Amino acid sequence: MTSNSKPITDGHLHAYVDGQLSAAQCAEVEAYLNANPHKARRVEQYRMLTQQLHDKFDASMDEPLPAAVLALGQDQAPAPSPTLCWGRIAAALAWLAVGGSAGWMLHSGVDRPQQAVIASAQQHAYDAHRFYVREGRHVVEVPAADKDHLMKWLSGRLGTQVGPADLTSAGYQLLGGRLLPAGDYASGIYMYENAQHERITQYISAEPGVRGVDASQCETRAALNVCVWNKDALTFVLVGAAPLAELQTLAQHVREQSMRTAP
Amino acid sequence: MQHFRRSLLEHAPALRRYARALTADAARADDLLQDCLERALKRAHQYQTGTNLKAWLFTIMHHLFVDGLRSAKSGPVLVELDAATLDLPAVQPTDGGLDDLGTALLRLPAEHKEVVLLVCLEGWGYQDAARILDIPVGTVMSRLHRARETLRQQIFGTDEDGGAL
Repeated sequence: MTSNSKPITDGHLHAYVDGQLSAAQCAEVEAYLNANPHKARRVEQYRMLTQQLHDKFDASMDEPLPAAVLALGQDQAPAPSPTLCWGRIAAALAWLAVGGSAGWMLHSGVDRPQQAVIASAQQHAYDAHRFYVREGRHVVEVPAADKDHLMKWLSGRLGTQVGPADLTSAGYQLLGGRLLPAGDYASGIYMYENAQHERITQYISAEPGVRGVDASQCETRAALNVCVWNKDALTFVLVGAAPLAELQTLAQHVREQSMRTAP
Repeated sequence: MQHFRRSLLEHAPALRRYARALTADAARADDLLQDCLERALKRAHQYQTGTNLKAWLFTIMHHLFVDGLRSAKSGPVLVELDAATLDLPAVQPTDGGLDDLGTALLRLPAEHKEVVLLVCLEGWGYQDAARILDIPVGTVMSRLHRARETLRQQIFGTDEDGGAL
């Protein structure tokens, strides 16, 4: 049927039309089509079919979207969140820092549930980072090599899909992660390391009660910096010795990746 | 969440084109689009960080489309390959005329139409289409081959080798 050494199947022809072949495979298919004009005609008709689909339906992409759909994409005020009072938390933290207190427990009027949840998430994240960061061989429970398993496992225990961020552009590689208790709830950490072996910890808590902390809020605590934000039912904390501005940027990377589609 | 909402709108035109081609009905397509984005907002917490939002949205639309077919019984859902020889389904297009391509699409079984539209119109690769439809990639390819050959024959006519590649 053909002088080519490798048989060309109908699957190759479809994949050729759909741009699913490597350059080498394309060349093989093209040689086959040169030798088989009726197959070439059919491939051309497949291409015309694709073009006809675009001719018929592409115009719908330029039509204005229905108002009801546009409304769905509009920015909305954050969901009513009577417990949110970040300013008071920040003030309390500043007061604690000035006072040199070693504790993260918030008091003096900041006793609402959301603030307590944020404070304990920060405390747990801070403790977990300090506790595990010095470990060598056992720094994580599940190494980055088992990333898919790790992600599935932590997502299962946290009750929602949550994976590690890709921070390679910022010079950090994933080391792996751990499952941790957080009171009655599950929490987990993903730990990352840069070329200088500096580590940062991304802590995620499934304890409910935090809403509307849309931008990461960063503070310095002793030798470490801590950024916190929430997304849906999860509270995120990023901890590390990296300078505050750098950690803030890293927190932004992590946060945006949880919002944005992959390329 | 606000960024998420804006991201949804970025994908709305492609979702709408897909819905329009699936349903052959502008009003039904816009309903499908709105249902899709509403469900995405409701299930935003299930969206997996770092994964392809557009593919996730197409998956939601696929489920809504199939659910709609089942509840409305307005077209074949899980029919065999020879469904392409059935009479025209009762659904008639309400936008534009019934040209050869429109007629041929209406005749296609829904699961074949989805594959051919995802790959040929929306430009998804075979792996992505398999993920969106939650079927093996081999099934994507076999449905695509059948659907595309059926469309080709209806639009261009059969040729000397009778459609057997």
